[in-house]
Amino acid sequence: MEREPAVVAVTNKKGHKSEALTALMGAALALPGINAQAAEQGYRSDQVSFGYHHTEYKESGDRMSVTADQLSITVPIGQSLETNFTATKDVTSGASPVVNFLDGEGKPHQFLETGASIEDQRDIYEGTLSYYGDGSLTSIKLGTSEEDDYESNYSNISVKIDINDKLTNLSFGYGHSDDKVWNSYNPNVLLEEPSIFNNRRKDEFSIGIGQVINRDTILQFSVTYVNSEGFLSDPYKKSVVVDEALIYSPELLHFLGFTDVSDFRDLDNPILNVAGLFSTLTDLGVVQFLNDSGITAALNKLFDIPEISAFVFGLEKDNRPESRNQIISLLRLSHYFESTNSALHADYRYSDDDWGVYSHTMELKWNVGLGLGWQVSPGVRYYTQHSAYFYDTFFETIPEHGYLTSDYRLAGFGAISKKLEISKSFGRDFTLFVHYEEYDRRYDFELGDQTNGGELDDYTFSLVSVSFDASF
Amino acid sequence: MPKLSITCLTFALISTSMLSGCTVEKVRVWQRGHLANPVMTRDRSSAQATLEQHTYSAKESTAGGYGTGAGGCGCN
Amino acid sequence: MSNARPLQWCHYDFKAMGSPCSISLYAPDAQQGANTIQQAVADIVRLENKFSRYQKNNPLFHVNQAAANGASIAIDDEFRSLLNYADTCYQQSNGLFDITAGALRHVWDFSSTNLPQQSDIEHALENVGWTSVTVENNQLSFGKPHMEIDFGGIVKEYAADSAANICLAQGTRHGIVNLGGDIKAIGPHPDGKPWHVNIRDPEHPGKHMGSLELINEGIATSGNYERFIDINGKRYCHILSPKTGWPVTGLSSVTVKASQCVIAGSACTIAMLMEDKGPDWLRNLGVEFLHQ
Repeated sequence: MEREPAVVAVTNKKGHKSEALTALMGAALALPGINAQAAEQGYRSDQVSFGYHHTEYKESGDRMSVTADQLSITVPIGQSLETNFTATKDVTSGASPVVNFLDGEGKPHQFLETGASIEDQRDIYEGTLSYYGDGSLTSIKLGTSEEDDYESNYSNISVKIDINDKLTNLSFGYGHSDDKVWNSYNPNVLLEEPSIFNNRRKDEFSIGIGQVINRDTILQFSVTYVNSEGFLSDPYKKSVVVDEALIYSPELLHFLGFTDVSDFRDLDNPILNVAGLFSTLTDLGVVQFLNDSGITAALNKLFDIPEISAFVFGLEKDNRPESRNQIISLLRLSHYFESTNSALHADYRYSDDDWGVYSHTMELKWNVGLGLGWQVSPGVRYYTQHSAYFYDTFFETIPEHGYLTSDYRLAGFGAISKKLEISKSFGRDFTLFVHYEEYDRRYDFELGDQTNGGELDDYTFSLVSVSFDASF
Repeated sequence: MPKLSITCLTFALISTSMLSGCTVEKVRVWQRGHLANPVMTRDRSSAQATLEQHTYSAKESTAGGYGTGAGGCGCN
Repeated sequence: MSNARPLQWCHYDFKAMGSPCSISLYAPDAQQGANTIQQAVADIVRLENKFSRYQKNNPLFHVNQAAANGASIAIDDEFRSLLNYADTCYQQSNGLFDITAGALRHVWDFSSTNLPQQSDIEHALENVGWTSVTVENNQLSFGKPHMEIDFGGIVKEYAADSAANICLAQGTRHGIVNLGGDIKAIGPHPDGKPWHVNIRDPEHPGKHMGSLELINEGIATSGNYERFIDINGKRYCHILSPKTGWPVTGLSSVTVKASQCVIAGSACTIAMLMEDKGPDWLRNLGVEFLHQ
């Protein structure tokens, strides 16, 4: 027999995988004795990974800006357990709308609360334990979030199960949070009122199904039910109620010598310009002077200023129902395009609740793999919501149901976002990631008939995030 | 919440019928190369995705629906 | 992460699946190492009992009874996923890797010194054909009688992967499982160096034809020196072509390294079946290999 010399052939050490090898690996990973997780992580299962994340968020005008930093560490325990610990700190500064005053033309104008009173830090600590079972993933998360005026303790459990040869997955989740809310009272600031301590809690149930449709397409559908109970109002926000204001009362106006009272009650032609008055006082530094000189503090000791302001200007506290039930449905389609090595992710979310706020969210994200670890993802998002039944920019009278809010988040509006993400992986152990977003919120972007809302709450924000993940 | 339930149920039913109505191919394990491509993972950074949702939840009335998520925040 | 305690080297030799086997690993202490090895060996024995062609009344035996009758039989998930893996091999090798080639074993007796009759081979080939087999929801059906399934090139290799995974699940981070030359590594050595495996030269006992380095990976070897018939100085390999019914010629031995031992095992078997085109096929597959 002819003997050939031994030949050593070493090819493709660079990690290129042929289609045949991908096919064999896929089928091998489906064998029960071969743990897909271990096979994919392999040597890495021993590794600890770190993630750092930084975000800069800035709203238009004098509104708020946020800086957030997050540090995350993931440690595997044995083969099937993994723990993650995440600490986040975000600092919010700038102004937040408090109330809308009416001007001389009866149009609402916004009064922003500015300065140190809104400098707020939020600290979040979260721990997650995940168990990778045979065709299942179970996670338990415990978290706490603390602010100057808010505290939340929450937990959730989620289970994801692969069935039908891993072509279908089912997921179930339950989350619970117990929150304490109050306002951080500073007696040196005008119009602030003493702290009130309240509780709210939230229970969340979700079920979902994911299905492989064909070689290139995955469809996911989930439904989440959220029940919130307790104090759901905003402890800072107020609404103007014309009928409750002394300055609009016919008796006072008669006393002051105005004769044509019915004209005044016609909001198209009021005489007093409270918004103008307030902005003048603010612009002249009178409010600042009252606060800085201690006069505000002294007045606060003598009078119940919030009660007086409610009486005089009709400033009623934000008051929302003590219960809210929401149902959120999400449909997500992901499709791979071989010609461009890209995937389009299309989301549609529909939400409805018993506050009358229903919303549509449509989002497209296109992930394009450029090779050498580069990925570029442009995206667009459109969100629109119907206003809550107890929302208005201002109120003429207190509604029969007694609930009222002028919080812009419960107004009718639409928002369009443009986003771009760029990421680069260096080997398997280091990924750098940049995200940019421009968000434009306008009341007339609302889909369908215009509901309560106004352009005074229109704003834009831009957001830049940088993050990196590393494994050691 | 009768109205709420009806609207949501309608949407759920439409979606479910879409799921069952379209032809689902029995994709074999070795045919799942495209599905395993990294671009098919919607969010490369899950921390980014979470913070993104958090930003929206502070500005919009609808929060979540992407799986049971985080706890409350004074921002909403 | 640094580990303060020195690790203990544990080694165990045993015989399973008709071959000399061993498991070696680094464990925190001897007791823990022995426990891990015991569990891994138990799984290897379980797979041997389940898939051995030499045992009666095991699942493979019942499946082959159904195969002989052209009948249908219920199988468990593990069996089904192995058939799915075999199906993938069939697709990727253009039908050369066919587990129903087991039907040819009835005419090829590797303990004899006589070649079978060509008419017998042709008759046996009629009973070969993976396309006649269907798997539907854990129900395996044979479309014609006299068939037989042979998991050669899959089960022993899968057992090595499975044993390595059990060690990993027990906390082992550094070890190596060797089932008669089908090898699967768990991590590298504790110092991070890869496992160095010498591939023996079948033609020159005591010599090596090369070596491969492993971290977490598996290697498997297929060759005509394992089992064969020597007739008039010509060596007939035990790997039978499902197309001709004859032993393959061309390569005398192929060793493949892959992320899983089962992939290495099927890849080297497919390379043997491809005969002269085997090395090119492996090159296109994108794996490291040695051949002769």
